Amino acid sequence: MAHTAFISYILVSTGLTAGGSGYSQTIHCNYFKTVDLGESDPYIQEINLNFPITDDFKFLTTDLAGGTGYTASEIYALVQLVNNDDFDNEADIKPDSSKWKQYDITSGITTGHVPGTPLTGADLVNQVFKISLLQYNDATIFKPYNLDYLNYPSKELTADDKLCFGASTFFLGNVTTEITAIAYTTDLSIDLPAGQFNWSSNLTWDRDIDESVVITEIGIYDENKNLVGIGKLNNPILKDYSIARTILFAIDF
Amino acid sequence: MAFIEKRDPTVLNIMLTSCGRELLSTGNLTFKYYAIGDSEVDYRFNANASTCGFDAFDSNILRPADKYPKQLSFIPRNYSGDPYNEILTIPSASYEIQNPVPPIGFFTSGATEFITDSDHVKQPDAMVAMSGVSGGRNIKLLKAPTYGSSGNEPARGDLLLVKWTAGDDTTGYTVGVNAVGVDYPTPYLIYQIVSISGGTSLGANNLVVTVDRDIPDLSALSLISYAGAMVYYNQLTFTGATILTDYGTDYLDAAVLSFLQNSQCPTVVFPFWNMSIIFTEEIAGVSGATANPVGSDRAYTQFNSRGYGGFVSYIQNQAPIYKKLGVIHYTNSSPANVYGEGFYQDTPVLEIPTVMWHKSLTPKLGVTLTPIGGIQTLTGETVSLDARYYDLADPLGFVVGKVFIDLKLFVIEDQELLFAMSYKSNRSWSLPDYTASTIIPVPCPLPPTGISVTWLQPVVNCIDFSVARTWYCHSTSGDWIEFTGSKSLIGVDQTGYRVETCREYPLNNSCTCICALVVGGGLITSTSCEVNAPLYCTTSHSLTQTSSYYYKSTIDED
Repeated sequence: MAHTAFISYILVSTGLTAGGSGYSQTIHCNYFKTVDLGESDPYIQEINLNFPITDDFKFLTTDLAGGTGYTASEIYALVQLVNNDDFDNEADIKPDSSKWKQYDITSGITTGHVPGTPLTGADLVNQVFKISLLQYNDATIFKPYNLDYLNYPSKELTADDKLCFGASTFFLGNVTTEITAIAYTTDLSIDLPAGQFNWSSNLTWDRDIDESVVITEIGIYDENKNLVGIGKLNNPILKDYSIARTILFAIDF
Repeated sequence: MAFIEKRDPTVLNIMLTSCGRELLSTGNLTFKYYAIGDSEVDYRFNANASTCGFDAFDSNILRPADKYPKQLSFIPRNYSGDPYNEILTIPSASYEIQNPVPPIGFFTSGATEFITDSDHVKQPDAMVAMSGVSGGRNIKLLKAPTYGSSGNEPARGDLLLVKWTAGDDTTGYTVGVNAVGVDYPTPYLIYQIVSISGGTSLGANNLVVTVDRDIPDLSALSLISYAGAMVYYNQLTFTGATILTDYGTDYLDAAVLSFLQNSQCPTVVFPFWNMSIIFTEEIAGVSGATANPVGSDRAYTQFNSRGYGGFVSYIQNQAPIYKKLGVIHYTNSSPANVYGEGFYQDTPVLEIPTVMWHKSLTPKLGVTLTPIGGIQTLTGETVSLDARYYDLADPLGFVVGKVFIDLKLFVIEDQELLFAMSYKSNRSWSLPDYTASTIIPVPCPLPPTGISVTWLQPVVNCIDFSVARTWYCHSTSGDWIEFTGSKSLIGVDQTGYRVETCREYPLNNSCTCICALVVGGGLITSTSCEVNAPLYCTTSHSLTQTSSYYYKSTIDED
C-alpha cells in the first residue's frame, strides 16, 4: 500500500499571536510539493521542508513599524497523506481540498526565535523543518485546515458579497507592446502595350477626334462576369499609341 | 482584412464589392477577368477645358463604393473587342507590418503613477486613518487631500484598493510613497465592499464600509499615518455609470451595430486589460463539510471565471499540467482592433506594479515581465495547438508564464504569482518556493558527526501497556541493538530508538515520554528529560500481541 504526501506551508500573521499587531491572515503558499512515501508505513516517515534561497524572504520584516513589507510569527506545514490505492492510476493521485492538515513547525527553528515574535528570513532558510508523520491522525497536532480566515463566502450570502478567487477581473497593471499584421496581397500586373488599349466604349469618346484614352478604373470579374472588385486611380492616366504602361493592382486580405 | 500599403509605380488598391464579399462568404469568390475602364471621363469636357489649361490628369475620381453599380465604359484591348481580359495567374505576396501601441492599463507609462480618470477608477481620493485600523471588517473611509476631482461615492459591490502602510502616508497617486516610490513596498490589497455600515458619505468624511474579509490589526503600533484608498467599479455586477455600462446594447455602443451592417467601425479603446484567474481544481482548504456541500458557491465550479474553464485545457493542448492559470487578456465589447493581428515578436511587456515578488533582485514594489529566449511553438504529446509563444520571465530570467503573440494574451503559470494577484488571497506578495523530501528512519541513514546522545527508558503513562524491549541504532550500527536501562552513544549522529510495548487497549490515550540527552552539549531545551515525541498506538492489537514503534531522534545535530 503506497502513500503520497502533499505538502505546502502557511505563514501565520503576527497579528494573530499574543497581542501582536500585523496584517490579517493571508492564504497559504500555492507551491505544492508531492512526496512519494513508497510502500513503507507512512507514519514512521518524516518529511523535510527547506527553503534553499536565502534572499527569497526579502519582504519579510521584523519591524512592521518600519513601514514596509509583511510580517509573520509562525510557520505551519500543510500536509495531506493520500493512499495511492484510492486512485486508478498514478496521474489521478491528488489531494482532497477538505482534508488538509496544518502542523506547527515553528518550534523547529533553531536560530533562537522567540515564540510569538516576528520571524526573519534567516529564521526560515537556515534549517530543515522536520514534519514527523507519526501523529498525523491526532487532530490536536495535525489540525484541520480550512479557509475560514479569509471569510470565504457561503451560499447564504447575496451576490455582491461573494468575493471568491475567480472574482479577480481587471488586471491591475499595464500592457505595452508593438503590434504586427501580415498583409496578404494578390498583386496583378497588367501590361498595356503601346498598340493596345487605345480605344474606349465611352459614349463621349470619339475615335476620329480623340487620340488617347484616359484610364480611371479597373474592374475585377469572376467567371460569370460579376463585378467582384473595383479599383480607382487617384488621378487618371493617359494611354495612346505612343505609350506603353504597366499597371499594378493589389487586393489586400 | 489587413493594412493597405500604397506602392509605386501605378498601383490600384482594389476593394471588394458587395457582390465580391457575398461570394467570398460562400467560398465562391474567384478572379477571372479584369476590365479597364474610363467611366468617369467626359472626353468632350476635357477637350473643351484643355483650351484653358485643364489636363485630364487633374480630374477627380470618386472613391470606389461598396455597392459599386457597374463600369459604364471600357477600354478594350482592341477596338470593338471584348473588354474582359483574362487573368492568367494570381500571384500572392505577404509582408509584415509593425506598429507601436500606447501602453494600456491602470498606470501611467513606466507604471509609477495610478491613472485616476473616470474610465479607470470610480473614486481615487479616499484614505484610511491607520490609527483606527484594529482588525474586523469595517473600514472608515476619509477624504484624501486630493479629494475633489470625483464626487463618486463608494457603493456595495465596489472594489476597494487600500495601500496599507505602517509607516509613511501612501495617499496620492504614486506607486509606493511619494518621495520613495517603489522603494517603499507595502501591501496593496483589494477588498469588496459588502455593505455601507456607517456614516453618510465619503463626501461627509464619515463613511464606514464593511468589506469581505478581515483588515489588519495595527492598533498596537499607535500609527498616525494614512493609507491611500481607491474605489473601483466591480465589473462583475456592472454597477455604476462608467465606460463599462453606459450603453444599452450588448455592444459597447449602439452605433457598433452599424459596423456589422455598413463596415463602419465606431470603437472605444478599452483603457485596461482583463485578468481571469481560472481554477479547474479546488483550492486547498475549501472544505466539503455540511456548511459547504459540493456544488455550493464556494466550489471552483461556481467561480465567475468558470466561463474560461475550457481555456485551461485549450492552452495546454488538452492535457493540462496547471490546473490554475491566470490569463491576461483584452476581451471587451468593442470591436476596436487595438492589437492588430498579434504582438510583434518579443516586444510585449507586462508590468505589475503593486506586487511584492519574492524573486525580485531588490526589495522594490512591482515586477516587470518580458519575453525571454526564442520563439516557441506550443506542442503537445497527442494534439498540438501550434500557437507561437515566448516564455514570460521576470528581470532575473525566472519564467512565470507565457506570452502568446498571435493569441494576443498572457498566461501566468507561476502558482504563487497567481495568488499574489488574486484579490481574495489577502496578500499582494508571493511566498518563496521550497524543497520537500522524505526520510525513512530505518536503517539510520546519515553518517555520524560526533555528537553524544543518551537514550533513556521511556515513561509510559498508559495503564494498558508497558515497555517490553528497547533498541537503539545509529548510522554505523548496522542494525537495531537491544538495550536495557539507558544507553549513551558518543560520537554518533542520527541515532534511532525503537520500543516494543505490550498493550491491551488500542486507543491513542497516552503520551509516552522518550528521552534523549546530549552528553557534552547540554540538554536539548530543558533541565528535565526532553520530550521529543509522544508515543502513540497506530494499530489495534489483541492482548497477546506486541508492536514496535520507531522513533528517530529529533535532535538536529547538523
